[in-house]
Amino acid sequence: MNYKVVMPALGETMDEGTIVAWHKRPGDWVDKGDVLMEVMTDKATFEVEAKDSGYLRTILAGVDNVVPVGEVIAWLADTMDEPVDEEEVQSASSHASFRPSEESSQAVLASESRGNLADARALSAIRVSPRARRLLNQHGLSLEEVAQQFSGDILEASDVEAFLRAREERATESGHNVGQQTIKVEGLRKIIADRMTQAAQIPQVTLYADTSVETLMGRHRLLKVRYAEITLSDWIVKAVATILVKRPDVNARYEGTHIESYQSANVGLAVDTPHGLMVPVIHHAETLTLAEIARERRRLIELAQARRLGSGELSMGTFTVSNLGNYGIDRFDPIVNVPEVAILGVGRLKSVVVLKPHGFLVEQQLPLSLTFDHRALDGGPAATFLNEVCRLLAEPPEDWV
Amino acid sequence: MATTSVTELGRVLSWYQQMWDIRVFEETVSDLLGQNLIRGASHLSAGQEAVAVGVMAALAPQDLITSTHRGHGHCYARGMVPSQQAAKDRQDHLNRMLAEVCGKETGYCRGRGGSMHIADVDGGNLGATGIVGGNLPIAVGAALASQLLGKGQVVVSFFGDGAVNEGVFHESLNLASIWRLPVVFVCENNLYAMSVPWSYASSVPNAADRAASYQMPGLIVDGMDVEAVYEAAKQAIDRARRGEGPSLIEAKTYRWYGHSRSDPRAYRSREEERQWKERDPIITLRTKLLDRGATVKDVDQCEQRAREALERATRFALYESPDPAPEDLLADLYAPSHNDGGLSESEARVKAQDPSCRQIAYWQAINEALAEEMTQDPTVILMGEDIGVYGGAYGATRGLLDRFGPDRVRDTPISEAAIAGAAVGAAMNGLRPVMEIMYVDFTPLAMDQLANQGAKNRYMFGGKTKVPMVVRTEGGAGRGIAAQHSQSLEALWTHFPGLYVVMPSTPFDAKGLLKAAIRDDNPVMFIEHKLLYGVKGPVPEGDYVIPLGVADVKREGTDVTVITYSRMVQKSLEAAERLQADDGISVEVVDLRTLKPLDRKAIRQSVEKTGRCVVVSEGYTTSGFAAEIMATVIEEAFFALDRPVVRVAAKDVPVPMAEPLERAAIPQVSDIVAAIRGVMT
Ligand SMILES: Cc1ncc(C[n+]2csc(CCOP(=O)(O)OP(=O)(O)O)c2C)c(N)n1
Ligand SMILES: [Mg+2]
Repeated sequence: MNYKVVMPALGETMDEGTIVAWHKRPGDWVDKGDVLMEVMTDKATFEVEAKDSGYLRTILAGVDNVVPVGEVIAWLADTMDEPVDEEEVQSASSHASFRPSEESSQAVLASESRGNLADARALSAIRVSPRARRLLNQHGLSLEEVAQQFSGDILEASDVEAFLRAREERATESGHNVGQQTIKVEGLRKIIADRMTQAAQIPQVTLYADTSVETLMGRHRLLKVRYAEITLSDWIVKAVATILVKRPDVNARYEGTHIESYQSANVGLAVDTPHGLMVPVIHHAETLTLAEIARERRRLIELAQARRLGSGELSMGTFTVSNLGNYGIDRFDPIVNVPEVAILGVGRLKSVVVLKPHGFLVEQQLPLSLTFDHRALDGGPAATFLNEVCRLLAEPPEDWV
Repeated sequence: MATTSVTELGRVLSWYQQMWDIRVFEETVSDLLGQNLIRGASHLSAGQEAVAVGVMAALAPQDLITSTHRGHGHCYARGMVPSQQAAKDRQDHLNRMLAEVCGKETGYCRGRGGSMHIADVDGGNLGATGIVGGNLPIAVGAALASQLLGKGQVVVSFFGDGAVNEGVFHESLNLASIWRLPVVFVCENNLYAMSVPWSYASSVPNAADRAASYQMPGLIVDGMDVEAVYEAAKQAIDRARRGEGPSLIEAKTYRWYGHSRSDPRAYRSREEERQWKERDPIITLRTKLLDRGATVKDVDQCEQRAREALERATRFALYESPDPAPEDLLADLYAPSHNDGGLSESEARVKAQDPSCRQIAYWQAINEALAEEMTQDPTVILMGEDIGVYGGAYGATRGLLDRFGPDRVRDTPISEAAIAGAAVGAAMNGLRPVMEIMYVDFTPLAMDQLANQGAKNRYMFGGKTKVPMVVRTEGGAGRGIAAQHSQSLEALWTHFPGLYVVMPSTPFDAKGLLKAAIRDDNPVMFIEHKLLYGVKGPVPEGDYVIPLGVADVKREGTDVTVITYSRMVQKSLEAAERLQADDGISVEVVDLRTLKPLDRKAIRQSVEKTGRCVVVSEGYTTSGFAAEIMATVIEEAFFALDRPVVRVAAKDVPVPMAEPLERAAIPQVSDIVAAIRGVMT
């Protein structure tokens, strides 16, 4: 009995995925649930588990191949010698839509898709010594890139050192500036670059407002005694979510021909990670308590740091919050996280002297900036939205705690 | 049977109290076992109380005993011998005994020993062994220390009828007899060894009959009569103290309970049990006491006091005593090392590197280390087969008999177990014996004494004793003396916790390490190599020590590490020369020198440097020490490896005599060269 392994859909916007690694080699026995390969989508890298058990008979899409969702990428079989569906194999391997990803296409320009397949096999045939593996990790190198300049069977530390030396020589030759370092735009960096370019093309406007958080900070300090993990961000998510469910015009996604409005608030959080910017989503944030939001935020950040976010955790955001206050930024203009309609930027908490009926008072204020997609939303409604958020943060309801 | 004489009433009354204490102690243990409040085995001595109490009554405060798996009574009664200091507090004594049986930190052995090893080693009890017959040679050794150091101690060794048919019984009685040692062997013949009757298992009707073979008195005594036991023990102990040598006492007795708690006693009839119980030593003594004028109240009070004391002890052991802490698991396994002066290794090395330094052979370096240590420490003695006039099978003790005399350089009968056990006992009683086993191939004959007693006594008895002794032996192939004289059995010895194992490869190392081994307070297995004795090298005169557990890089290199020891160091160095010359490969040779403690750091450092590792050992491949080194490399330096670790070790075959076969069986330079080339390509 044969089983197809197809490129899975790992998110609602995904229509193709890049194979980043195979965890099994042809001939390996695979148990249902074993991690078979890693696939990179426009959002993240996913570990894909086998849906059936069997021997991994044929890999049709090697590392770096870009494969449309639903295409066959490998075959599993109950035994090692039964014939696999040759016709499928043939047609699949010659499928026009299998193309090497842009990065590797430069290196492997001449090779056809079958050639890439051979590459994938060759790669799995290379044995890497523990010492070499440690060196690869230390220098952030992938086996793939080093293997391109390696012809032996066992990759040793000295081979990695030779690769590093060669790379350094190339860099000194090409770069006029000795300190120059070249980083390829690939993986997550590429995703971010593409998305930002896309976002920069839309007409967007930023509104500013500062809100008093005197009351809120008082409660926050009390609450922290019981729930140490709660931060200011959680209050903001809670406030935004509360208003969003009343404002379907802002809680929306601009899909070109139509605008989709949502009843529930899925609030994305811009998270800085060593790998780059990621936006995990707190789903149905309006239904969560502050402590629950805090817990979920923590969990998502940990996953993001480890680059282990799943597709569900990254998808279906309806609004985004980007807080740079902790980084000492006073105020900034965030860029809309397309196709969402608006994004809230949060700056650094500041103390301001204000005139009150009884005299001057020092008050803590939070600078907020709301950027919105002017195609979907006009200035007036956007302003009232920001205003409502400010009011809620200034007078948070007692029952939030 | 020995005659009874009337002893002072008060004294006998105190024996009566002791017998009750033991009886109720055993009842309590039986009860706690029944409730599953105690784990492990407990062999109860109810019925045999008169033997322990009667013998102990004849001891002087400084005297020593050794005990057995059925040792609660011995432990208790030895503790009640009035000592030179204050007498032991009876309640405290019972508390600590019961706590030990319950595995508590407050027990005599801090819960490490339990029922089977119950002993207060500080208090004149050298320990209880779970190995039948295991303590006889240890008593002999302790008696030897007493004799040589003029301590005036007599050592009493208790054992069961089962032990009488162990080889070590015969070796021990013989050794004690030829050396006229102050030791009294007390056989508690309770008619059964587990289930097997004495009458079936033994060729003579009485255990005491065996004494005739060893030219010592053999006394039979009624073990149910405490006064009779006392009289016999007194005779034997006095004789020993007068320097007239050992005796064997056989006390005929009976145990009330089964062998242990799982014993249904199918091998003996209830009728037989009833008959013996009619002769209950406690009832017999009660009648005598009343006849002699003790009041009923005096006598009955004893039982009452025993029950109260055991109730208190139970409370103490079960509810007032902490469990030992798992963090302390390894505490007291080894006695701490100490630095006793002499030049350090690096100072000595500077001298050795001086071109004017004399060159002496490996055997001479050992000989010199022994002589220097014997000179500076009068407690160092040598014992072994043919070490006297003959000078040792490989000549390492040449001339020492003349210099130090037959008391300190002792030829022994061919009794490996007794030699080893005697060394252990002597070490526990103040000597620093260096014993020799002619070939490492013979060390299995002494295995129980070294592995079960010597290695474990410190730990098992709660860290209260130390066993500072060295076993010198030699191994290795290359002389065409075949399967039983050519092995490298170090892996047998590295296996046991409590022992150190040293295997020097050069004269310089041999001298410094042997001196360190002799000064160390732990048992050390010092394995020389028969083909190294003639090898010469620079050795400074005078005192220097090389600490145990420190490896030595015998040759520095960058491409591949060879980890080895003993004679294979020489072969590895030859291989390294050849590879440097022929292939330009730079080989680092790490000589472990000490296999236990193992210098893990040196292994890590070298493999981190080179990324490739070949392990060379003359021991058999399967389960050999090379496997341990390989495992250590993986644990310490896996991520430094460029290639799998490879071993070159002896083939899994008895070493054959014919030269071509012998060469094929053990690693040769060409094998090492091939293995190194293998990891380089
Ligand atoms: C060397 C050895 N063999 C076997 C045993 C198992 N074993 C423990 S006690 C015992 C019987 C010993 O009989 P005996 O010496 O008469 O002492 P008793 O138990 O009668 O007091 C046996 C066979 C052991 N512990 N040690
Ligand atoms: Mg017996």
